Amino acid sequence: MRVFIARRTGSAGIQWIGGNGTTTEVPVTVGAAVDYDVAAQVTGEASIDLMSGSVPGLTYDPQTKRITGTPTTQGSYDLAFRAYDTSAESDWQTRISGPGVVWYHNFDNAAEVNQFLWSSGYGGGNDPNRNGTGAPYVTHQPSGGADGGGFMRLTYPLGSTAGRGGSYWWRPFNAFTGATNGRGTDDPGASGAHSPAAWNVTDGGSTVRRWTIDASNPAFFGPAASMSANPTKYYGTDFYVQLRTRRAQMPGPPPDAPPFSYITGKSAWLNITLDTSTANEIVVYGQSAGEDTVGQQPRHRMYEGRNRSGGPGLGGNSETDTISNDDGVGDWRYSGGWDTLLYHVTPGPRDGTGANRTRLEVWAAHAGETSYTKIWDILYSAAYETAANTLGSPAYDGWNALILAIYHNGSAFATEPFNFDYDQVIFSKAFIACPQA
Amino acid sequence: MAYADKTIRFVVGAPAPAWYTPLADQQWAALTGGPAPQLSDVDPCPAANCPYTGNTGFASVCSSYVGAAASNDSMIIAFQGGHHDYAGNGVYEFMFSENTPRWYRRVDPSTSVQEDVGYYADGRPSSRHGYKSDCFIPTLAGSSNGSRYFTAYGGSTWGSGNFTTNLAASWQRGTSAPDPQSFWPNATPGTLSYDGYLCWDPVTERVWKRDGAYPTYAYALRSFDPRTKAWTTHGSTVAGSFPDGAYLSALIDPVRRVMVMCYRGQIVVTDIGRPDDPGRVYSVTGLPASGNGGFAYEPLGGKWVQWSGGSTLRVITPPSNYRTGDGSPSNALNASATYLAATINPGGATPTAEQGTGTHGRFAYIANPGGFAVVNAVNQPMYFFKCATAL
Repeated sequence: MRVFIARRTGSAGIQWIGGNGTTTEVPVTVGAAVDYDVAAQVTGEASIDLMSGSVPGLTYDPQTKRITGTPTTQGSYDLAFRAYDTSAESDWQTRISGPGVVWYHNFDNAAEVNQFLWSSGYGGGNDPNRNGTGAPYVTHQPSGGADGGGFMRLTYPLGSTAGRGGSYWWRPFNAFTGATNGRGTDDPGASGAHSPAAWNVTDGGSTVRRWTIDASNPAFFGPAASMSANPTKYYGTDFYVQLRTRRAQMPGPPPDAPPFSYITGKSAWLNITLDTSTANEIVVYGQSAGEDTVGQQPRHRMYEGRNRSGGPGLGGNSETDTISNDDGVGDWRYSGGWDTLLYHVTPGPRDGTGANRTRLEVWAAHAGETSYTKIWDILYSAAYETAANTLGSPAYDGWNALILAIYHNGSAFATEPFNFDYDQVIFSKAFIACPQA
Repeated sequence: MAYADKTIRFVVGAPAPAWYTPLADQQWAALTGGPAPQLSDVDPCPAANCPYTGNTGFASVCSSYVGAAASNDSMIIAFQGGHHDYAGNGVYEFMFSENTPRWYRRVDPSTSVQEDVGYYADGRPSSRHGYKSDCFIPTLAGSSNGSRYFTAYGGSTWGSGNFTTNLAASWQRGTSAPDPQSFWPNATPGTLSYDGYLCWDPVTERVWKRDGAYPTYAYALRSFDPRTKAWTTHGSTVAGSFPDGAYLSALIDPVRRVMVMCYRGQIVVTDIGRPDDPGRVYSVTGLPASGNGGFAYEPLGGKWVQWSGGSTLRVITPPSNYRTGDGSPSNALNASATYLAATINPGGATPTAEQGTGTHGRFAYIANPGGFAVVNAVNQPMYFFKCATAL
């Protein structure tokens, strides 16, 4: 697999002639052909993007890294370029211990798929471990992933009324940040210490995974007072989660020919964990059933909301249960190939105001694209952490766990099948750029 | 993944002239057409019987250790001659941006000349060996002091050959007379002889000047602000030695922030971004061990280009480790950097041999239209190497 993994800052290894951040003038004339090699101006780069600017008559080709054409209009024109280093083109496996990446997983083989399945007590009809009746709805596909290798597929057969539930993947932050972070920590197939958690698919059921916040399992973000009093129990601020995913068509695996199906799929949410009845969360969904028309690729519709008193999972009923649909951020649609979704979560403090509030940004990139389109950016009107933590000793509120959900909402799809493929997940403290196909 | 940003500013000039477009890229051409393709076509005294004719006459305008300066679209030779070679102080300009490229005589020589003076009695600069004492100051925002050929001093002015002047002189484009002596009231500090070299830096908008070691100036570094008409002496000297003499050429790399002097197999790199740091002397494999060629900056590829007669160009791509650390301009020059010159032998016309008295600014990069130009003698054409793409 090839993935760009980027840090927000630093330029080690990349050096523009004359200095990074400087300006170089290039004299040309109207009517005289130009063939300018941008790559000759920088060393240590793997790719160069034109971030802004244009010159009438000239075009920049990021593949050749050259500006060509014939200028048509006198004037002075600034082109802002950004060069990325060679690590961007290395195999992602070699980058997994790189700075910023604290955890990743892909689904290249059946063992990984099975080991990372999550139902300790589920056993319903779509139990991927086939503990219950029905087909194994979560299966490993040996080829056809983003890199041509394997991937994980969720399917749901048309007409089945069995529990067609969510598949949750629950990871406390310690698993990301501890000394043994990575695949061994909470991967049961690798003797991880933490077992995966599961719920009933429709309403979350009664199984709640509880994590005691202690030194070995710190919170990620909490109220200022708690963080100040217990500095070792908190870690960091914002983080990124990247998913490589391929949305379904109907029937069979994407990208088959239309018609496409229209399903809901929850990709990720952030949850607070220390209460039997409190679960604050940020949610992002795919689109709801029946929203689109035949012949169109499904959208990645965004929902936002919080749900902190209705029990774990969705379906909460508190006054603050404000999960809502918002389609005001455009109409980004899956390509049918391996697309990338990148969630940037900045947990805010409870009493935060202004920009100091919880923020969720979502970028998306179609297969083959090397830059993201931002499709979602919300600054929540209230903080999404609460003091209502009652379990554990001591009890620290805050953002304490990340739940990745490979999920569909069963009730809405009694009659519609779906396919939803996942290939990899990366959790990072640093910016994760777009993968290369 | 790390990243780094850069702005590339395309300055799109007026349409290329008609003669330029048909030329083959990266080939030499002799610009022989039109009414005045040679300097001799604008000789103010073809009969060679004028008060300023001297011993060698108008030919001295290219042969007497003569400098020149390139504007955006022209090459200017002003006040050149000196010693007892030639007393003429005319101004000549070759226009590349016209559809028919040609020489113009912009200023006629003084008809009354005096020996061993900086300015003649008529208030015009005396004729001199220019060496690399000159540059072109482009139009300056907020100042009327730009758009000028500028020479900071004069070596071997008309007369005994032993007189140099520290009086700057200039000519503003579009005018028919040089600026008066009073225009630049402050004397030029440092070297007044042949071993000082200066260039224009478009970034700081200053003239930079490296003295030689003779007699006592010890390679001092100076800069001049044409807006304030004030000189500044910096702390830089040169770590090592390089040949004094009349034959060096120099360039400023505005991107890497260095001034580079070149003589045969050596270059001296001066960090004008860190003007108190020592200049570094480097031997460059691939530069000729003899000859007195020119040296100019190619902005499309950021290359340093040396020419020393004929069609051959020697192209230096400065190494990425020309500075220490990560190579950013905040770091000092790297004394261990290795410079190499690659040789290219373009086709097309073959320029004549360089003058034995040095080429100086008569080999220059012209921005509009893009290419290198060189003129070697008053009775020879201007040679032009089209450079529409980076070397």
